[in-house]
Amino acid sequence: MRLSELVSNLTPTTYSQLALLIFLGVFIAIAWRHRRLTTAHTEAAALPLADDAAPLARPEVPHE
Amino acid sequence: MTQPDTLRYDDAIVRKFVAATIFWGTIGMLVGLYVALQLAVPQLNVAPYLTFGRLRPLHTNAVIFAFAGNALFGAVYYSTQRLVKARPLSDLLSKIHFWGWQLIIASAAITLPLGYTEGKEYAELEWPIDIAIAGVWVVFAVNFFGMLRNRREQHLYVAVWFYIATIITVAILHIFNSLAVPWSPLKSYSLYAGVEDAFMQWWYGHNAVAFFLTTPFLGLMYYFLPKAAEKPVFSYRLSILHFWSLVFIYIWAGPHHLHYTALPQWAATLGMLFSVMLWMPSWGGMINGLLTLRGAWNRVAADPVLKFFVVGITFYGMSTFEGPMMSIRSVNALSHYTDWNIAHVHGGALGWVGFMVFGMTYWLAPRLYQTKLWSTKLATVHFWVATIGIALYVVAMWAAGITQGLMWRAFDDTGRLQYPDFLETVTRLMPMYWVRALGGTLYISGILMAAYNLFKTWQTRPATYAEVEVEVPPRVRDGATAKAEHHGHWHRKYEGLPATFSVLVAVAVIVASLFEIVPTFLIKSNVPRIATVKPYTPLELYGRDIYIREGCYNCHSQMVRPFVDETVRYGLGGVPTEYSKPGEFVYDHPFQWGSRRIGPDLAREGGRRDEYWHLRHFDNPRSTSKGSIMPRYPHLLRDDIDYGSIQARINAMVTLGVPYGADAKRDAAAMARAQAEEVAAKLVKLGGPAGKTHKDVIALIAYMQRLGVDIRAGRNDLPEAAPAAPTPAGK
Repeated sequence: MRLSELVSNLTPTTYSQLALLIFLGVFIAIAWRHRRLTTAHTEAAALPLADDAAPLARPEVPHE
Repeated sequence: MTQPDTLRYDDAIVRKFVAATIFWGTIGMLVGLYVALQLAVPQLNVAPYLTFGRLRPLHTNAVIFAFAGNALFGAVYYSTQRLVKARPLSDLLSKIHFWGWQLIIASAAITLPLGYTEGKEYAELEWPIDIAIAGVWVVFAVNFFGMLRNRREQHLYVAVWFYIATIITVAILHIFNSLAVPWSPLKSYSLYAGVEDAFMQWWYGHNAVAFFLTTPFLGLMYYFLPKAAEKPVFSYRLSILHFWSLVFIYIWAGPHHLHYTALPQWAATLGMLFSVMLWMPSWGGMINGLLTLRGAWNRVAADPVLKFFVVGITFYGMSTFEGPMMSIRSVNALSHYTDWNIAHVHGGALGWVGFMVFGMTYWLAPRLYQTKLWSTKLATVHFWVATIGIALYVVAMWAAGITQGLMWRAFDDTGRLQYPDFLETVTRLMPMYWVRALGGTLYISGILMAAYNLFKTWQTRPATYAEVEVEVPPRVRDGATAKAEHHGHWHRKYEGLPATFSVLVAVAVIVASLFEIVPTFLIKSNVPRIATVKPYTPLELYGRDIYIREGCYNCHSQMVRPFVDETVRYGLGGVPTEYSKPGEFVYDHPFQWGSRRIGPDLAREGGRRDEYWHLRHFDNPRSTSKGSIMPRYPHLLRDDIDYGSIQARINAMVTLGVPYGADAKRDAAAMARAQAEEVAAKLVKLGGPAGKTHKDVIALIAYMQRLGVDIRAGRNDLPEAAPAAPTPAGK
C-alpha cells in the first residue's frame, strides 16, 4: 500500500489515536529514563542557587 | 588546561524591561478598569475611539503583550545570563529588542482606538504591526540563542527549556495565525475564512495563553522561586515530565473554545480530551513549585516576595483546574459566552501572571538598583490589597456568568423562555459589574503601590551602578563537549545541545498542530457547502468592516448553538431558527463568532427588525432598548461611506477566492451606491430621516440585514422577515 493511499484512508479519529500513542510513548520513555534520582539531577536542580558566585570585582558604570 | 574566564552580566536591559512592565501594566489595567465601568455606566463611551469595542482590545493587548511581555523578557534576560553564564549575544540587539517592543506597544495603543483591527481576539493588530512583531521576535531569538551558544554552563536548566519553548512556539503561532491579504496600508483580510479561521484563531488564542502567559512564567517560577526560597526545586525529575507533557498536550487543546459551534465535533472533542489531560502536567508543576518551599514556609509570613509566589502558584493550580473543567462539553454549554470566561482568564492573569511578576519585581528591585527595597511593608500591603481585589473580581464574575448562563436556558412551565428579552439577562448583572469594578480598583491600587515603591527604591540607588564581574568556566562548545560529558544520558545530552533541543520542541509542537490542522483544512466534509450562501455585496462588505472596526465581536456572537433555548431565542416570527452551520461562514474573512454575549447573538439578525429601528439603535441604543448598555454610535450617522476604498476590498476578497461576479470586479463602488440608495429609500419610507444615503450607518444596516438571511433562502417553512417594528410617534 502506498503512503498516499494510507493517509487518504485515515479518519480524524485515527489521527487522534495515533497522536495519543506517540505522546504516551514519549511520556513513558522520559519517565522511564528519569525513574531514579541521580547526581546529575541534584546538580541541575542546584543551578539557580549556584549562579551568584562571588564577584571578582565590581567596576562602576554610569546610569543608563 | 583552559583558563577560567570572566563575565559581566547585562542588568541594564533587565532594568529597562522591569520599568516598562510596571509602566504598561498600570496603563493596561487602568484601561481595563475603564472598560469594566463602561459596562456599568454606558455613558462613559464618550467618543468613537473610546468605546468599549475599541478599548477592550487595547486592554487585553496591553496587559498581555506589554505588561506580561516586558516582564517575561526581563525574567529571561536576568535568569538566562546567570544560568548559562553568558551575556546576551549583543547589547545592540538587546536595545533593538527593548525599543522595538515598546514601539509595537505604542503602535497598538494608537491604532486600536482608531479602529484598525483584524477582528480576531488577542490578534487584533494589523499587518504592518504583525510584521514588526515577527521582526522583533527574531531579534529576541537571535540574542537569546546566541547567548546559549556562548554559554559557559553545560547543562541547560529547566527554566531555559521553558524559554526555548516560548520563543519557538510563539513564533509559529503568530506567523500562521496572522497570515492575511492587505488591501490598504493599514487594513487586511484574514487568509482563512469561517470554520478554518476560527480553528486557527483559537489554536493561536489558546496557545498564546499557553506559551506567552504560562511557559515563560513557569520558567520564571523555576528560577526565581528557588532563589527567593533559597532551596532547590523540589523535584528536577518532575520538572522534566512537567515540561514535555505540557509542551505536547497544550497545543491540542485550542478547539475547546469552539464547543457546539460550527467546528466539526471530532476537533472539539479532541480539544476537550487534551484539555482534561492537561490537569496532570499543570498540577505536577504547581505541586513542584509549592513543595520547593518545604522547610521555608515560616519565611512566607514575613517575606512579600514569597507571599506573591505562593498565591501566584496557587492561582496557577486553580486556573489550570478550572480551564479543563470548563472545556468539558456539558460545563462549557453553560459557561461559554458568559462572564465565567472573564472570571477564568482574570484568575490566571491577575493571580498567576500578575503575582509572579510582582514577586519577581520585588525580588529583583534591590539587586537591580543595588539598594534596599524602599518599603517591605508597602509591598505586603500591595499583596493583601491585590489578593482581596482578585477575590472580589473573580467571585463577582463567576456569579455573573452562572446567573446569565442559567437565565438564557430557563423555560417556564408553559414551555416558553422565562427570560425572552435578552436585556433582562444583562441588567441582572449590574451589581456584579460594580463588585468587579471594586475588585479591579483594589488590584490597580496595588500596582500603583508597586510603582511608587520601585520609584522610591530607584531614588536611593548608588551614584553609579557596580557592574558585577564573575569568574566563569571556559566556553562550552556544542556537540563534542556535550556528548563527552553526558555520554549515555540521552535527555541530558540533548539539554546540552540547544539547537537539537529546540528542534525537538518544534517537532512536538508542529506535529501536534498538524494532526488537528491538516484534517480540518483538507477534509471537505468538515464544511459542507450551502448553495444559497453567497458572498456579501460590496456595501455589506463595507458594513462588515465597520462592524469589525467598532469591535462589535467583543459583545456579540454570531453563532447559534444547537440548543433549544438558542434556536427559540434567535428564531423569527415565533418559529425556531436553525442552528449555525459551517457552510454559512465560507466567505467570512475573518470569522466573527465572538466569545462573549454582552449583547444578543446576531447570526440571525437579518430581517428581525426594520432599517429605521437599526438607525435609531445605533444612534442611541437606549431609545429602542431600555436599559441597554451598548455604546452610542452617532458618528455612524455623520461619517460618509468611503466608496473609493470599496474596490480594493473586493479585489482582496477575490484574491482570497471569494467568487465575486464581473460587476463587482469591475465597479464595486457603483453597486454599493445603488444598494445604499435602496436601503436609504426604505428608511425614509419607514419614517426615518432623509439625507443618510451615503453615511456609514447605511452600510452597517445593510450588513445587519444580511446576517442569517442566506440560510432561509428557498425555505417555505421559515418566515422571510419579521413584521416591521412600530415607529415611535413623532419620528
